Amino acid sequence: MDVNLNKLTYLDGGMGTMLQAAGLPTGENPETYNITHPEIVRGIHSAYFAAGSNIVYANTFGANRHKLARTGYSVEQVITAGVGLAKQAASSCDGLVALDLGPIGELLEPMGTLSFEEAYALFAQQVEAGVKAGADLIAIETMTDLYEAKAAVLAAKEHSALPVICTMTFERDFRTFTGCGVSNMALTMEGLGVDALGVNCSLGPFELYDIVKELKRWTSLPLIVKPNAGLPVIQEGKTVYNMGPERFAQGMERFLELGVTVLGGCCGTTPDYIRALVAQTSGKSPAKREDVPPAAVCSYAKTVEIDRVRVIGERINPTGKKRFQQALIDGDMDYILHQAMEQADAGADLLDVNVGLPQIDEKTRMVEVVREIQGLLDLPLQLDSSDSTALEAGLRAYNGKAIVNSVNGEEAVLDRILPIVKKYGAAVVGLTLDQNGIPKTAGERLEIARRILQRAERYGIPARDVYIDCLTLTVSAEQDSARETLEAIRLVKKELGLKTVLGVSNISFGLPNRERMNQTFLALAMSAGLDLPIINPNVASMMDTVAAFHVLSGADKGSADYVERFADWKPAAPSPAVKSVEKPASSSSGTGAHDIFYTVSKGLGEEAKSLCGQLLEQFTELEVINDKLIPALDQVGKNYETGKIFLPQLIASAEAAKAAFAVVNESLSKKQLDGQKKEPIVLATVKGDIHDIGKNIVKVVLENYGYPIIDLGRDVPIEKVVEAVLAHKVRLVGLSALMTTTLKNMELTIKALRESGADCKIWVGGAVLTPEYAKEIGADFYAKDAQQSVQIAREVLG
Amino acid sequence: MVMPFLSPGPCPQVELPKQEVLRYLGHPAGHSLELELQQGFERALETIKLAARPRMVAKPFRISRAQNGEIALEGGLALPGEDIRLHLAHADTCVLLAATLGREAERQIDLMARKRMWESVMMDAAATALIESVCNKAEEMLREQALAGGMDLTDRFSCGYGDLPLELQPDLLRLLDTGRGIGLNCTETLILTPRKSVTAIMGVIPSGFARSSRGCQSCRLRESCRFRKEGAVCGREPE
Repeated sequence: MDVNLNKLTYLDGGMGTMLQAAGLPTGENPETYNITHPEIVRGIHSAYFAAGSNIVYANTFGANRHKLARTGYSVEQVITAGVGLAKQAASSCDGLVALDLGPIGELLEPMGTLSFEEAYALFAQQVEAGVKAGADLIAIETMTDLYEAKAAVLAAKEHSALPVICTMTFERDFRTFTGCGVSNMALTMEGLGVDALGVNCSLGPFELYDIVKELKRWTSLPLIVKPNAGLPVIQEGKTVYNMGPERFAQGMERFLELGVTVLGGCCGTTPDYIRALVAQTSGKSPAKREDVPPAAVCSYAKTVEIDRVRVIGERINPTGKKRFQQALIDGDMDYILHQAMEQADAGADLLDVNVGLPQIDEKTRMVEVVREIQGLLDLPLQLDSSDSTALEAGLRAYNGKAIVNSVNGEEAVLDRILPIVKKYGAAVVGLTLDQNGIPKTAGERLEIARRILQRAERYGIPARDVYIDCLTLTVSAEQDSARETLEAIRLVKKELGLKTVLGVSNISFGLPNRERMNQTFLALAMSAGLDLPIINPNVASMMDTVAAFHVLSGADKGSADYVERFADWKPAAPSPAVKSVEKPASSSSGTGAHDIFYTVSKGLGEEAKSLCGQLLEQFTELEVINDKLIPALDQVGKNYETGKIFLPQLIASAEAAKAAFAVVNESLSKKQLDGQKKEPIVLATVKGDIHDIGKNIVKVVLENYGYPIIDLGRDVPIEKVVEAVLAHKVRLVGLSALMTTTLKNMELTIKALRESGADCKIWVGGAVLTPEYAKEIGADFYAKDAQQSVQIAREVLG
Repeated sequence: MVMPFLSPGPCPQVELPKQEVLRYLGHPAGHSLELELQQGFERALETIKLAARPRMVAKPFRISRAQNGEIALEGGLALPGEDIRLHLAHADTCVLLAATLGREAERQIDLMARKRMWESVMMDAAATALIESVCNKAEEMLREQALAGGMDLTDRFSCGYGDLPLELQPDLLRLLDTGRGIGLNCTETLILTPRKSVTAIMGVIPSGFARSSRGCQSCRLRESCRFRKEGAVCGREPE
């Protein structure tokens, strides 16, 4: 029998349920029964085939190296036996056997400590064993983390040629436990090329109906539904489900009207349920589906449908930006993430990510930046590079469906990039230029767009995922070009029906009041049919223009968003011809309403900044630091130690001081002077530990005393700490751990630092540490809080 | 036979107790907050309330006692140590409970840590207070079931308290099937993920017996505890 999931196909029902009924103790690994009780497992498969199942899942759901570790059996043993038993049952009835891949049972980074690569390797081992054992297809199920599901799909597709199906587990709010939505799953999984997708577990058929109805809108692939036998209740201390076979079958029949073709059961269902399901539905035809998914991209939790103008933020890009370039060279993730958060707050719908610099390894940096951003924000990303290896690595690391920026009409480029776009299921930007440069006329650009589309379709990329960039030229240099760009957008929309994307700001290069020019060009481009402007969302007038356009185009129903955006808007006061400069009277020490001391101690960041600017008109930078800011911080520290203020106040003060320090440092660098350059300190939460709040507090406070902090983050491998200490010749290292179980890694990190010969002092902190224990594991100092860390830094580094 | 349980699922609405959050933060009672901090505090509470998706599951297990007094759950999992033996001294059945706030609350705390650290600290404390409230709610629901059957429940006891080893964590999660039921797992280093989560053990006891066996003596943070230094307790007061 071949796998044809477009036809009505019956899967099996619960395995765990059946094994428990046969005596499997709660909490025992069910897969061990493949070896200890083969006749039971084979009997269950046979019973499902006899009930009408076409495909059974082998008893391999949790057969990964991590889960099996406690059983003493290897992955290969358990899977070979498991698939073998299912095949024996299948041989007499022309049935098929799926290798079942369930979740690993640990959360992936950044919420957990399991890396994407480790997850991939665990699944790959299972797939290889399953292929060898003769599985007919691979079923990935009960996934709640889209990233883990992606690791499983990639492992399945890269280690086998078998069909791959995937179901995830949704709650009543249409999301999985990790926040993945129905559309996010569909867009990402269809992109990765699975053969069918759907839902299993968590709820009964009636509760899952609306979820499947929503899912259907986002995919054209065959749909799978494998619900529980209703909802669980406890009887006599055992979990049972509240729905009998007939009711279950009635609930399942309704999925035919949605066009679902692959039906089965999960927890609580038995061969009786499958028999009832087959009786209820066999001979009936699932409704014909004509679902064409909308043009959309997504992160793990947020889907952006391109059904109206959507703004792509352009700020994560080093071109012409010294500070950003430095951040890329230094690996300063704080700075890069700040750029991402700022754009998200300003209302960007997507973020462009460009990390290309000749001095850095773009591939490595692309992966780091993608992971950091998606760990923090849920905006979909557009990966922007001309380096195909960087693009591929970024797409692999991305948790969702991304956009690739970009290809152009050049054959070599299309053949290099499009296969990657297809493999990872991204959308792609096509620039209307080729080896001959940018064509002058709109008609010629349309032709290139047509070529790009044809080639993309040949690679299996649907037209809805091809976005055309008609290219903005500088209007001060070529005045006619603006009209051609706008005309090209119109033509691409009309002739090809594709979505369009455009970097806007180039238009105004070399002109005064660029903002006004950009704003006007943006309005014209949107009116010509631009869907995805790439702009700086932090410029309010640009976002205002988009908001106004949404009203005029009808996208913003009843002008609701527009009215909300401008709810607090007041007309600007006419500016006086001559600015009256009001200099404050000396506000150095408490004569003004608020002095710097007050603003720092009260945590008023903005005020501290402006006061600091004023102080710099009267005092030198060093005077401001040593006579104003440091004494203020010391006083705040004392107040904290004596219990006059509490922790958030201490931190708020530190953050206000940080804002003030930034003003001082800027003034110093303008005069090309160095401040009091202090030696750097390395901070890390040790391997295996993901609590980093304490370490982050220490960081904020220490930064204010002028110490540059090399923050290695949380769950930091021992080698990485040693490497950073040696590379930067650091003399002071702070380590944090919050669990008794991770203190061991703290001890090992200290040991490794000592053995490396690094000439550094080490201080440690964390809830379960004591001064005695700190000494025992070889630390030089113990700090009970952030304020004590300052004293240690002063003692060691001055 | 009284067998209290909670099907895996969302926790009914619970309060987020402001005073508790302030107490976790070490805010001196009676002091007022600066306006900016006050606003941040309100924001922090609001964000956590919106982001949290509290879920819980609880199942009853019979207890067996070996000759040497060692306790084991039906299915064979041993609960080693003096403290749990004491805690379950009058119980033939115990209830395992697991609860979590989910991942989004944690993401919001991490996100705020990069904007305003002080507000992130407030959110973290709010999340701690909320998971405690969720556990109180779960305990209350389970106790109602016990009382209806003429029995009572002990307080919650978690691994890591006293001499009950943290190493039990993966076994408790497996017995409750928390990965599938409420999205709760743990790392190889035994940290619950999502982080704002709790597992606990309660004994089903005849009513009239003491619910609590523990106080500060069985707490491993007793040496460094801020509350104890101030002559107070952390909130889980022994009766």
